[in-house]
Parts: sequence; C-alpha cells; structure tokens
Amino acid sequence: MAKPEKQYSGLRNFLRTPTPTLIGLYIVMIIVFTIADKNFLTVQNFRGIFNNLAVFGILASGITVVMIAGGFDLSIGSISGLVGIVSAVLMMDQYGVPTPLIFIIAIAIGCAVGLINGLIITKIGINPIITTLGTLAIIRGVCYFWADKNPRIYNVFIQNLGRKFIANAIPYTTVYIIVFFVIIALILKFTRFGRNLYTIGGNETLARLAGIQVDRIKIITYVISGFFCSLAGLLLISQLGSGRPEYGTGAELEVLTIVVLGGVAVGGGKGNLLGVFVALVIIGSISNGMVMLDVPIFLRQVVKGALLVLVISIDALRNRRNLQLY
Amino acid sequence: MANNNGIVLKMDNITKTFPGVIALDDVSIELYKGEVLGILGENGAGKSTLIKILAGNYIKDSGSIFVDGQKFEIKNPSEAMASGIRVIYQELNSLNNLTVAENIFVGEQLVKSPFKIVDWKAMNKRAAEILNELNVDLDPNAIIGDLSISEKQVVEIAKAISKEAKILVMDEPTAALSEEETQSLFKIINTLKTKGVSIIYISHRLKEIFEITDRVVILRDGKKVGLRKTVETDANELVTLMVGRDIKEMYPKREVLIGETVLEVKNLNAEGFNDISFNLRKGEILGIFGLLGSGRTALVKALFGANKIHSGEIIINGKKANIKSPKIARDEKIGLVPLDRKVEGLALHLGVKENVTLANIEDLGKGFLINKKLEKIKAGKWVKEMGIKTPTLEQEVNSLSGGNQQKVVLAKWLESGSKIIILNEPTRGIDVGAKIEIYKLMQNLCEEGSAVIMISSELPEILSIADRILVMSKGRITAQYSRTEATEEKLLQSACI
Amino acid sequence: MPEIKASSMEPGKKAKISNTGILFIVLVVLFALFSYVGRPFFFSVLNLIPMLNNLSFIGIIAAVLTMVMVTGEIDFSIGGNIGLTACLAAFLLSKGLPGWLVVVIALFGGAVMGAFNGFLATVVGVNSMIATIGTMFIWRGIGYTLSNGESMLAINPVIDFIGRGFIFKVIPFPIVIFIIIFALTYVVMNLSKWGRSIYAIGTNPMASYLSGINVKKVKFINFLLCGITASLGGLILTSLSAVGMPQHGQGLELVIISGIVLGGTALGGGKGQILGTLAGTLILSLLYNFLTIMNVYYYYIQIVQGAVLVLVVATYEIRQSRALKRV
Repeated sequence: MAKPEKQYSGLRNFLRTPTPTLIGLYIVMIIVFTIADKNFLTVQNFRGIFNNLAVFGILASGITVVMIAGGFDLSIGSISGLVGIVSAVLMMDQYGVPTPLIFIIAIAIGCAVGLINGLIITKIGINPIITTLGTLAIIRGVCYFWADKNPRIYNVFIQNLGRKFIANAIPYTTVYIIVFFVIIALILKFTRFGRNLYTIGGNETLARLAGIQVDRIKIITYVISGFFCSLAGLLLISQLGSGRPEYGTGAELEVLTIVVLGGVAVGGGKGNLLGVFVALVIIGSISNGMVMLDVPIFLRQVVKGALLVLVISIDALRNRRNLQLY
Repeated sequence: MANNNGIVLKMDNITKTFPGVIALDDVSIELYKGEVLGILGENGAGKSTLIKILAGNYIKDSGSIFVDGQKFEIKNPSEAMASGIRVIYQELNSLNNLTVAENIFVGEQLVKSPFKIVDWKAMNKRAAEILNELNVDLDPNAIIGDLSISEKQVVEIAKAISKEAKILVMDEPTAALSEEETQSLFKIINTLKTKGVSIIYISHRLKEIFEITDRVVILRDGKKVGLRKTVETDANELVTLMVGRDIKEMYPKREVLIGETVLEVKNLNAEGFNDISFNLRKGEILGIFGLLGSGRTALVKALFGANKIHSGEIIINGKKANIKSPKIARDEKIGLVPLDRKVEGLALHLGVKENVTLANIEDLGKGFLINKKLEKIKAGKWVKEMGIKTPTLEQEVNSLSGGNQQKVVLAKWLESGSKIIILNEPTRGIDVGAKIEIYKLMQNLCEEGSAVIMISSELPEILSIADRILVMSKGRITAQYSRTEATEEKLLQSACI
Repeated sequence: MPEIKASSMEPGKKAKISNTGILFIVLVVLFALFSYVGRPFFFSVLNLIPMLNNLSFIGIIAAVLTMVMVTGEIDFSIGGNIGLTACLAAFLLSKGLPGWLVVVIALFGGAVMGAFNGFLATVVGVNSMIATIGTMFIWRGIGYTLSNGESMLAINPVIDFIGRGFIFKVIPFPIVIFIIIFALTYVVMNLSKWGRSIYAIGTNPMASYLSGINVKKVKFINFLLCGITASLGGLILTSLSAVGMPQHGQGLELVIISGIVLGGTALGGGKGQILGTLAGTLILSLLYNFLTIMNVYYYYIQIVQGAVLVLVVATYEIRQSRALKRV
C-alpha cells in the first residue's frame, strides 16, 4: 500500500533549475542599475522595457516548445519579417482586405512555413539548424518581393495591437506575453503533449520505444513556432508603423540568448517558461541599459553576440555529458 | 482467449541477419499463459535480437509471430505495446532530467477528465504504490539522474509493470541488482504469474533460471539448440547446450610462468570507485567480476586515462605513471579493448588497415606523411597472425563479424606494442567459435610476456580463464580468489556485499 | 584462414564513376550551358577572370573548412570573419601601418577568431553549429564598430597585390594561393597522418580518443587554420574590391557549406574529399556568377542559396537513409 507520508520533492526539483539563480541575478541587476541611474527603476522605464520585449517574448514562447523537444529554429526572424510585410501590403488601401482576414492570412503563413520546416526536419531528417538556416535565407529573400511597396500602417486595430497601454502603465503586449507564457507553461506541465516534448528532447529513441509519435509532435512544435512568428510579425509592423522586408533580421540571435539563458537546454529535454520569462526581462533590461548608457549601436551587436556565446557556453558546461573527453 | 491451448505467443521460424552475422537463424518459441519462459544463452547467442523483434524494435527478415493465435506483423514499438507486450531492456533508457514517476509513466501519463489534464498527484501516488510493491524505498519525485544504476533498473521494472501487460519480457533484469532486490523481483514475477501474465526471462545466470522459470529455451549462435522443462534439467546439461561443446575444449587450459609485477595500483580513488589496490603480474590473466554499476568499467577507464583519477598511485614496471589521457596510457603500453567495440573501439566506416593502425598513426612512416606500403605490411601482418577474416585490408570493419571486429580492436593494441591489455567483456556479442579464438589469443599474449586484465560477467568464462579474480561491489574490491578457490557462489556472494 | 588478395582490392566494384567524377561532369555541362545562355558575356575574359578570383577566396576557405567538417564540427563564422578582416585591414591601413604588417595582423586576427571557435567547441564543449553562429555575429559586429558601418578605402601596394597581382605577369595571384592551398589540403587529407586522425575522429571520436588520438588538439588546430584561411580570403576580397566593409562575406557561409556538402562531405563528419569540395564549390560559384550576370536581384539569389543548401543536404540525407535500408 502507498505510504502517504512519502515526501514529494517538487519544490526541491524547482530549486535545482537555473530559474532561482536567474531571479537572484535580476534582483542584483535592478539594484546595480538603480544605483547607476535613478531613472532605471521607474514605471516609465519599465513600460518601455516591457513594450520592447513584445516581439522577442512572443518568439521565445514558440521556440521554447521547439527546443524542449530537441529542435531548433533559426528562421523565426525571417518568418515574422515575411508575415509583417505581407500583412502590411494587404493592409494597403488599394487591396481593401478586411482585418480579420489579414489575421487569418498572417497566421496561415507562419504556420505553413513552420509546417515546411517540420516536414523537412522530420521526414527527410536534416539537422534542424541547417534546415532553418536555409529557410531563413529563402524566406528573407521572399520578403524582398515587396521591397518596393514600402507600406505604412494606417489600420487602427493593428496600430493599437502593439502600442497601447492599460492605465498608461502596462503595455497590451505584456498582457499577451503573460497570457501566452501561462498557456504554454500549462501545456508543458499538464498535457501529455507537453510531457512528451520533454521525453522526445531527453531521449528520442526512448520516446519512440514508448510509442510516442515523435515525428508528428516535432512537426507540431515547428507549427507552433510559426504561429508565434506570425503574431510577432504583426506586432513588428504595429510597433514600427510600416512594413519593411528587413524587419526581424537577427531576432533569432536575441531570442536564442533569452531562451538558453532561461534554462532551456540546447539539445532538449529541459526547460521551463518561468526561467525564460526572467531571462526575457534580464535581456530586455540589458538592452535598455545599453541604450541608456549610449553604447554605440554597432557595439550593442557585439555585446549581444557575446551574450549568446556566453549563455550557450554555460549551457554546455552545465549539461555536458561525456564531452570533456574529446 | 484460451482457444490455443493457452498459447499467448508463438514466434515461428524467425530469422534476422545483420551485415556480417546471422543474429537469429530459424528460431521458434511458444509462450503459455502465466508461465515464465527462460531464454538462456551466452553473450551474442541472439537473445536480445529475439526480444527486439518481439518489441517492434527490429523487423524480422522472415518467420511469423502469433499473439493469441492471431498472426501479427509487429512494425513498430507502439504496435507491440498496444498488444500488451512490455519489455524491460538491458540497456537503461531513462530520462535523466525527469522524475521517477514521469519515467514510469512515460508516453502514457495518467490524465483526468474533463480536459485530459496530466494528473501529477495520481501519478506520484500510483508510482509510490508500484515502488512499494517492488519493496524499494524511492521517492517518485526524485530526479532519475541522481539515482544509482540499480535504482534506475528498479524504475525500469516499475515502468514495465505499471501498465497492463500480457507478455512481459525481461532482458537481464538482475544485472545490477543485489540478492535482496532480486528476491523482491522474483516475488513480483510470481504475483504477475498468478494474474495470468506470461513472462520471458532472459539471463545467463543459471541459478536464477532454476529459481524462477518453468521452461527454458537455449540459444547458441543464433540457433535454438534446446527446450527443457526447468525441473527436468540440470546445470550441466544447460551449460553444455549453451556452450555447445565440452567445457575443457571451450576454455583451453594453459601453463604459464607468472613473472614479476608489471602493474601496481595503490589506493586509487575516482568517480565510481574507492580505494582500489591490486597488482598484476607478467603472464597473468586477472579477472574482475562485479554486477552492473559495481565500478568495474569506471576502474578500467581510470586505469586507461579516460576517467579522471582523484587520488592514488599507478605504478608500471616499478615506475610511477601519471596517466592523464588514453594517449599517455598508450605510451605506457596499456591497451583497452572496450565494453562496446562499435562505439568505443572501432572507426566502423574505415577499413581494416586504418583500424589496426589507429592507435599508432605516428609510426606509419617518417615525418608528416603516411607510408601506405608500410601501413599495408603492418596491417597485413596482424590480419594473418590473428586470423582476422576479411576479404581485403580495405574492407570496412562494419561488415566484419563481431568476433573479427574484436580481433581488429585487439590487433590495434598489439600493433602499438601494448604489454598490459585490459579487456572489458571481450566476448560480448560474438559466436562461440570466435570466443575460443579470443581466449587463445589472450593466452598467447600471456605466453609472450604480456599481462591481461579481463572484466567479465559470465561466470563460467571468468572462472575458467582467469588466474586470479577480483570481485567488485559498490566501487570497492570485496574479495580476491585464486582460480582454484573461486566458485560461482563465492563470486556472486562477494559481488552483492 | 584469412585470404588476403592484394590484387582484388574491392571485389564488388565495377568500373563506376565516383561521385566526385559525376560532379566534375556536371561542372563541365553547366559551364557549357551557362556559356551558351549567358553569351557572349559569360564566356569572356571580363567575366572569367573575376569569377576565378572570386572562386579562389571561396575555394580556399571551403578547402580548410572541409577539414573542420570531416571531424564533425562546423564553422558558420567564416563570413563574419571575412567582414571583420576586411574592416580591420582597411582600418589599419587608414592608420598608416605598412601593408605587410597589416597582412600579418589580419592573419593573426583570423587565427585568434579561429582559436576562439576552437576553444568553444573543444574546451567548453559547445555545439559548434550554435557557437559559431554566435561568433559570426560578434565578428561582424566588431567589423561594423571598426568601420562605423561604412566602407573604407583599402589601397596599398601589398594589399593590391594579394587580390589583383600577377605571378609571371599572367597568373593572377589569388589563383596561385588557391592552387597552393588546395594542393596542401589534398596532401594533408589524403596522404598525411594528420589527415588520418581527422578521418578517424569524424568516423568515431570516442574510439579515436580511446586509441590515444588527441581529439581536442586536432579539432582545435583545424578551427585555427580555418580562421586564418577565412581571413586570408577576407584580404583577397578586400583587395579585389579595394574597400573594407563590414558587409563583406555576408551569407558566404551558405554558399561555402552548400558547396562542401554538395562535394560529398557529411554534416556529421567522417566523410569528405577535398576534390569533391573543389567540384562542389566550382559548381556553386558558377551558378551564382551566372545568376549575377543575368542580373538576378541579390535577394533572389539568396533564395536560391538557401534552397540549394536545403536541397543538397536533403539529397545527401535521402541517399544515406536509402543506403541504410539496403543493409
């Protein structure tokens, strides 16, 4: 018979994830930044930080799902760029496409590209990094079909999507991020689909032996990622006020940094969205800090690349198995 | 259900080949409802292949499978599982980042209505119940990565019995278990039997076969060589069937003068073992016996420089050696024939000659370039001397048989001039004929003045081949026996301390 | 008893053309086709010489990257390396440093970049696919910072010679570099002990390590060489264009890696031939040159490049799985 006095160690398991460290790190950052600049810890500043995080946050929630299952997606920046420019073009007065239809088309584009990524990766068996590096280039090229249109966004609904605030303090976009993070977190924790992602990422052979439909689930993760790219694309054009073919370039760099910093293991099997959320705010604050300190724009790029290398190094050191041998 | 005289599973004329080997040759078995059918055979006899076919992990080349009298083409693991076939694999397949409960219910998490939400509470509770039945004290919420090998094995067993099973296959389930844990497992097996579950029990430990099985099938070199009722047979008959020839012929006796100490290990400590001291003498075959997870593989890896040594000394030919990498071990004339030759021993897609010279590329000519002629001479010499059966020196080693692959690994170390050869389960996955050849090669080495360390979990093998046997348990040496002192019982007892 | 027949090397093998052979035939056919469709400009000195020059800096990087890839690693940061090297060289020239010193410093910079990649991949143990995507951004970011995002004039006798000089007044210097590096890598990969270690590591790193091969050292040095070669390529490109700008080499990793995989090198390592890489790179530079002279918009060429990468790898994977099924 079961002994009810058995101690379940759920809290202990949580404390072993990187999330508590990240929370601690962020508290230290807040203190340091506040000492360095009084304007850091203000509603005004945090409103800005969170609003700037919208696109990355949305993209991060999608790629987290992909990466927990052991996948990878470098094409997210391109997909959101494509969705952005296509939606912006469709919004031009001469076409007169109704807003709901634009939404449907936008989401269909993202999901379709995700589906293609997923099919190539699972059915042909190409490394996901190579696949999405290829589709990144292709999709970015396709964006330039509309390079000469330069559409501006006059659609009020889309304009409000990424720019409005609740009570002049909380950005709409923050609400989206929180809602999506909570939904995805619940899916990860409380559905078979979510748990199977961890199994696949942890040991794909075992997942197959356990009768899990690995390919189908992996494809779905890429479609989910594509879906969030669509939303991110709409937010991009909302916040920037126009559609340009280069929007979203390099977003994958920042999103990867966030997700890996948040404790999602490169290679899969590990990760939770709370960690990703804290990492999102950390990276957002660093970007914000660099703006406040007037770091030259090109140097920021160097810092961001260095941050990525740093977090993946930490990930490698933390998760290394037999790697130290050779 | 019981319309086929209680036969739940029938595998008829199953054949399966791999490049270079016939793993299963026309094997048929029948399994009755509520019985324990033992499958006995040495390493490489085809036991694992047979169950992998049953589990949908391999596709058979020919033959047919009937479950409850219905012909059943098992194409993948989910189909096998759907028809009630559960397998506990020998290789541990756990998800190291997840909890015990999750590992038990992998792919089939308990859910509750209305939205099929994963019911963690129920899962933890049910997991605790199953673990309790198995008489182990494990927290369902513990992370698998923190557990010992024997605990992981218990979780594997819990995983298999957590679901409604009709046919339960256990592939060497006790390889890492202590005597006590083994007895708990047998209790479970008996309970399952009374519930009408049929069990296929694979082992090469005779004692267990007699204790738990009703009937036993004996495989040798991929063929079925016998079927006995357990009560009607004895150990002698089973061993003779398994080995296929007279024991004396199988394990040739030898007379070798054992010389001075060549290797001395003093108070060695590293990950996986503690305070190990022993010595090895010229011309000697030193056996190391222990259960899975006893630290034997960790020990030889440390001796070979592949695992970091925390403290202690290794003295080779009277001189202290600082073995920090396999390269240094090689320079100290130590060679390692590893546990898994395909993963650790061979570059499978390179040729025989490349593999024979792999540990000694520097000597393939003067300067920067390889002298292709010299390479051929060197490789050709070993191929001839060791009787490696290969059509050409360029043949990919992948297509050689297990025995010939193992000889290539051994040749690699002889080519680099090794004087201390460590062999980790050297006869795993090779046929009986090749085994005898490997034993002979080991003995020749000793006659020529080398020293050999052999890890083996096959009792007849280690008892007949080794001059001296160290027994390891939980990372320590628990006993040492000379060849004359050692018996099966003594080894197993010392291994479970 | 074993029978070793030295005469019948591979018994099952009929007179079959190797994959590399097929690639060279494809190359000739494409060349003829493009010469016809792109006539008269494609097959003219005005196009062929720049094309060969372009090929030379792509080719040398491809050759050395093949060595990296056969060990099972990869370097995506080559394009970033080129951009940084170009900016660094132009920057140093603008500070009045002598040409030879600029070349030495630039190559040293390449070595540092390569060593850093090697450090990440071997000592830290990061998957090099991801690590070098990170460093790619870093190198290019430093290039942008050095040049402030603008192109800088890079004119100096030494630099000019690297890309536009001639040996014996007729052979373009880049072609000479190209031939030398291809010959060297060919010898290393096919005839040397170093090359044997590379193939062994790519086939099975664990077994190689347990056979006493210093896997980390071999991989590290390959990354180092790759970094140096990429910066040499960067210098050639700087010289050819007479400017150093951070956009130099953008997207080149796609072209080079597609060429290498087209040439038969496996992404997971173990397989690959320098001659295959030569053929693969030639075919792709031919293709992209053709698209360029046909006035295809740059971003559309990018579509082709991405598609070629996926297609080439897909073909390889499909053939692999077919070969497995046959067993």
